[in-house]
Amino acid sequence: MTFLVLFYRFFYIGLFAVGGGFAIIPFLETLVDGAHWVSRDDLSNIIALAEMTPGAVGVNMATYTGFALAGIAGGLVATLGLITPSLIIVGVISRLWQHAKEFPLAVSVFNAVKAAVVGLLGSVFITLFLLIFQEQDVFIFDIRKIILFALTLGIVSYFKINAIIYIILLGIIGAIIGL
Amino acid sequence: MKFISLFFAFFKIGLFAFGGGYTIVALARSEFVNKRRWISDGELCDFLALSQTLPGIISVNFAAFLGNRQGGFIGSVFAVSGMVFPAVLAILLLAHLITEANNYPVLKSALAGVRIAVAVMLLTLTFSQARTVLKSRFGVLLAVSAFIWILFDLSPAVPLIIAGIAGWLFYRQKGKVFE
Repeated sequence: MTFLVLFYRFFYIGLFAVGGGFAIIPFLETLVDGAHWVSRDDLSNIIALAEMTPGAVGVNMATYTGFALAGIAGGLVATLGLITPSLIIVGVISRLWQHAKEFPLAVSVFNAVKAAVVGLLGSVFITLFLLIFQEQDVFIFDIRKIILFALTLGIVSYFKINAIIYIILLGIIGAIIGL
Repeated sequence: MKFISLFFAFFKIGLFAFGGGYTIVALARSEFVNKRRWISDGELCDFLALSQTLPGIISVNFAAFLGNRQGGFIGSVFAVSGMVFPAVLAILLLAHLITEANNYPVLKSALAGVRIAVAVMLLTLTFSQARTVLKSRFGVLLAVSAFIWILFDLSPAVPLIIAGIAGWLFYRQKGKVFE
């Protein structure tokens, strides 16, 4: 029974959470206010934990909630509930998309949406750039971070380096110089 | 064999996806456009815009599109499972250990370094998408308006919808596809 409800709750979030990234947080708050499954402290813990662990916040939250309620199996069921709508919707759209490409009107609409997505990416960059200087909700300017940012950007623009390599390198540099 | 390699390619991306959804897209560009040459920058754009407009977690949608492109529905299941696996594992292992980053200063410093890498990745992604998508002054206008709108913390859905309508009007007025 618990598993079924867990699956359903996260299936619902996966189906209706539009916007992605941290836009999912209002949906997760319904788990606190509506279902009383997790406390508000849990929610802020999980957001902090999500920042320190890889992967999307929504996935982390699903695993954490399911795990807290029903152990490892619960974590898996909740995560499965969250990703199932995406798999179905994408499966259908992928098929339709091949046909839609033949209609100039659909292509015209979609091209315009893509242009707006570029603007959206730009604003996500600004958010993430400001996050570099964020320490416990306080904005602290650190010249070393600017230098590291500029250096990395310069190197990456000239040489094609796999992103994973400079994620690891900057993590190590950060730990060594105590950012 | 194809499915196994899809799983592990996305596992690798999921493992380094600090900072959530868009990091995954940036990593996927490095892995699938630059290194493996599975898809072009143009297709990456299509998948990103579709993932953004459809309901569900953006990174999950995105992995599902790429997986579907490579191996149909089964392919999308393998890609998404690979991507969420590290996130699920991390939460199951760390849920008990970490509640606050402050208890682990080295971890905090490493994470500060990683955030710099993530910002660089996003800026590179934004530029590459802008080069691929923005072909007219009208497209640039849409991108800049969306950028400003979202910068003021307003809903990202609105500029995408407005852009879609603009693309529709463009086709009706001028009788050609928006670019």
